[in-house]
Amino acid sequence: MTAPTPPRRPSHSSPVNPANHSAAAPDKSPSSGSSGSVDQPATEPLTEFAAQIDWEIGAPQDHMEMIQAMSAADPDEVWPNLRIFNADRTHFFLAGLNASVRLQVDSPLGSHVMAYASHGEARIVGDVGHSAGDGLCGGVMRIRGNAGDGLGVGMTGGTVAVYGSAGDRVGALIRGGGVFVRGNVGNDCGYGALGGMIVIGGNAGHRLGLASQNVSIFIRGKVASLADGMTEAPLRKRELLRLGMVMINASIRGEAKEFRRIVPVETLDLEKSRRGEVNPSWR
Amino acid sequence: MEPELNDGLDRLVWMPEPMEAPVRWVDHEPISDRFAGLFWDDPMWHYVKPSIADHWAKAVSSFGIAVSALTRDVATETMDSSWLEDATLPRILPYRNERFGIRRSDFDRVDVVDVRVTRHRSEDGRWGYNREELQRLGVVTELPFVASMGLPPEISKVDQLDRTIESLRGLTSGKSKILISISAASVAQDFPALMSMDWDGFVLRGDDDGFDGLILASILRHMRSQLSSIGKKNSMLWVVPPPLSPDNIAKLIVLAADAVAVDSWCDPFLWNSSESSSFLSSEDRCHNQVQTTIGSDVDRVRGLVYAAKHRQASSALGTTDSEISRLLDLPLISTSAFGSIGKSQ
Repeated sequence: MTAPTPPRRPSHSSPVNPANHSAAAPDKSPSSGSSGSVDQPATEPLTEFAAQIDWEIGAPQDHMEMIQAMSAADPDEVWPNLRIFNADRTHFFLAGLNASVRLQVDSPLGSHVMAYASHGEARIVGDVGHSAGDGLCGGVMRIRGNAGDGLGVGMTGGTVAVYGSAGDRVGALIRGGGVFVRGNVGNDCGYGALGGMIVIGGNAGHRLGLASQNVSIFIRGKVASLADGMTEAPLRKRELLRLGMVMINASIRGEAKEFRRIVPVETLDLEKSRRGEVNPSWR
Repeated sequence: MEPELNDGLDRLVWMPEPMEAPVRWVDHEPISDRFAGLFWDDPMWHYVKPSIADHWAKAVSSFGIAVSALTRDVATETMDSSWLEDATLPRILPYRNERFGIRRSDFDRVDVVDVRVTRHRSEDGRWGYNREELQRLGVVTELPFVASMGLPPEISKVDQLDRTIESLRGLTSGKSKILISISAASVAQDFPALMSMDWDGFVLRGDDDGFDGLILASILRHMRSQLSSIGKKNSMLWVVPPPLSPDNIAKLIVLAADAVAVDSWCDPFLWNSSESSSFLSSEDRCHNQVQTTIGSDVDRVRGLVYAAKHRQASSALGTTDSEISRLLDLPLISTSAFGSIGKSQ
């Protein structure tokens, strides 16, 4: 399903025919910095990722078949780097992705990007619509832009990182994996979540942590309001270490100690009742 | 199957064909018409192993009864489902608000997506999922019970449901019918907000609210009339009633419904299977059991509906009750000539 503007294919390029190439051993030197089969548009700046591109493909209707065909045969092999162009505001882009590939998409996308994906990595340079990473169960999606509502809804695994801000209901109903938003999030973040991790670098809207259980919610900025029964608490030692590692891996600036965690009041009371849990004494 | 209930629909009677009506020499349904207008709405798959569930799903759907199941209900990592592989058997995808257990592959071959904008109720009557259900749906949690949601998590109001519908159109590549499940008790409140969206129809849930079949028929007719007013007269209207006899199910179909849930007919298959793990484990035995238990009921529904198909509901059914006659716009059968015996019926 695509947005009203259909995918365009520039006249100077043609999509790769994956049937004619071996994905595991592309006959293109990545060091050349140009594409495997098409000319690199001269006006388009190369990102760090793009400098390592093995292949470029357009975004025709059957792009998923192409990506699948170019997947590394074994996940332990070197994954091919693919750059996808002309995917402007396509809905359901990379939905159901299950391929050992690294993808870069240099355009804003529509709703449900990487919905129900289970394997693969994608870096999207541009904003995405609602429900990005919806039902994700594996893989990594990095969004260098903003996201709409319902980011990472119903995730059971994988990672979604947004370097801008996101709308309402971020990480609603997640049961595994992690959602990282460098900027702000809207209302009802973490609604009904049953597991996993949500990290918010900026501020959060109303009812943060609504009806959530067992999920780790970390926030650095201000909270408009917490959901009933939720409270703020400082990070424990183990969480400082855990979040610190995550921040390093996700290239998030700052220190883990700048964050607080959002937990159910009951959980905090339980922790306090366990001696040494909140303020461990080493003496 | 014996009629179990004294439902209001019992007060409707089948009207005879006019004596002058010409005989239709070919009076049977085409064999290719597999869907019998019946569906198994909410099988308790967690009662049996996926391999057994697969046999029951296949056996029941081979009688033209659409069956609701996720892939994980009938298959495992090491065992494919023969039911899912048969593309001719009608299948419903239960799309619960919590999406527990749903995989990408669930959207690949499915006839109907049932978007359940109603809270899931566990067997013990609470709004949520018990441990056994969670286990079957693959939800790993230490909690013994997880509360159910009233709306999909990505939206906060019913009028945003078009976003969910749009996502399902994309996930099914537009090949499946999208039906919205609503509670019979909330039709007046929610139906107007949903009417302008891009669905294919509705599933009216009246079993949980304790509605009588007759009341459901009148709600369905109201919905059909509302849909007609916006040019969507032919939208699909399915209904989940309390347990009904084959005749009353046929009456519901003739009055307004396109399909009726028959969980009360099919659920016992799973209960009996759960009592003995070795009981009815083969596909053939499941098929025979379905044939023996509900085969004639399905035929009866098919037959009654077919007989009434070429007539308006208002000429196929009648009643001796003036209030029902007015409510459903059906002919009132006068019993005054028969004295007190007729009136007492």
